[in-house]
Amino acid sequence: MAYLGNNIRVAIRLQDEESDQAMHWLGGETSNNFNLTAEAVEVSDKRDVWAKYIAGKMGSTFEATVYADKDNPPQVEILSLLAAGTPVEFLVGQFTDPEGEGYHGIGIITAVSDTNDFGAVASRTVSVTVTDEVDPDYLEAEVIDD
Amino acid sequence: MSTFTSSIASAFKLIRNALTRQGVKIGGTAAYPRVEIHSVVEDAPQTKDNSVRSVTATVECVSAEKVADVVTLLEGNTEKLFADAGLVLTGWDVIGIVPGQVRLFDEQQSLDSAAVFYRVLQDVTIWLELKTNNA
Repeated sequence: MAYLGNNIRVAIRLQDEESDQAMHWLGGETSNNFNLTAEAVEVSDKRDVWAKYIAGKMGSTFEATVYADKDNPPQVEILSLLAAGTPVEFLVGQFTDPEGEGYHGIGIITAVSDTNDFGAVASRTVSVTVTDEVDPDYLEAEVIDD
Repeated sequence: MSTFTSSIASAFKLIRNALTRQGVKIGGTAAYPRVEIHSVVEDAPQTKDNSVRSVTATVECVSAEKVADVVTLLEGNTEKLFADAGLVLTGWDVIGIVPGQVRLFDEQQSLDSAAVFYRVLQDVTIWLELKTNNA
């Protein structure tokens, strides 16, 4: 069945937490996108009539847009992780008791960009490039709002 | 997901409290000149956790006598709404109050009386955020 994007949110693990502890939803999220890619590798040579391709390099990136909040712990964490260049454990999905469901993995934060428009709430976009395998199944941990 | 709480009553209360001052009548049945708050519209929640809301209301100043009355009321409203940063609400954080379009009308109420009413309409958008439990 189709589903609404409303429930698919981005959560991260705070640095001082163990892997069996709850992850934290990004506060004030308005949208996110998650991209999985498999770059094709051409294996043709001069004798082939048509080029042949095999699945090659796998890659993944995602972005989340939130209303900037200087008190929201995951947002504060993201800024310090960006400055430190430290990888972040993430979940892009939803929490269906008792576990998180969705894309789960580790990536580095490559960009944080703030937009401050006149008359609108300041927003922030976080870009992450996944640096390891993406686990599309589930995460055995709770995810909470701050 | 969190349960849904509408911010519309809180936003209305916020505007009403902000505009209330000595010598100004607020409400539909008050005499002229007066201030009315109407067309209060709460948009769909702005965030996935339903925490951030935008409510747009129209604040109207009406006078049956002269245009100067409504302009004076409008100036008073502007001062109270946009200059005062200390607006507080229970249950909600006030992110900000944003002025919108201002429109001036003079209109003839009926052919019989030929009475002229002056109205200034000011759109006001309020951004609110639901207070979290641990805040």
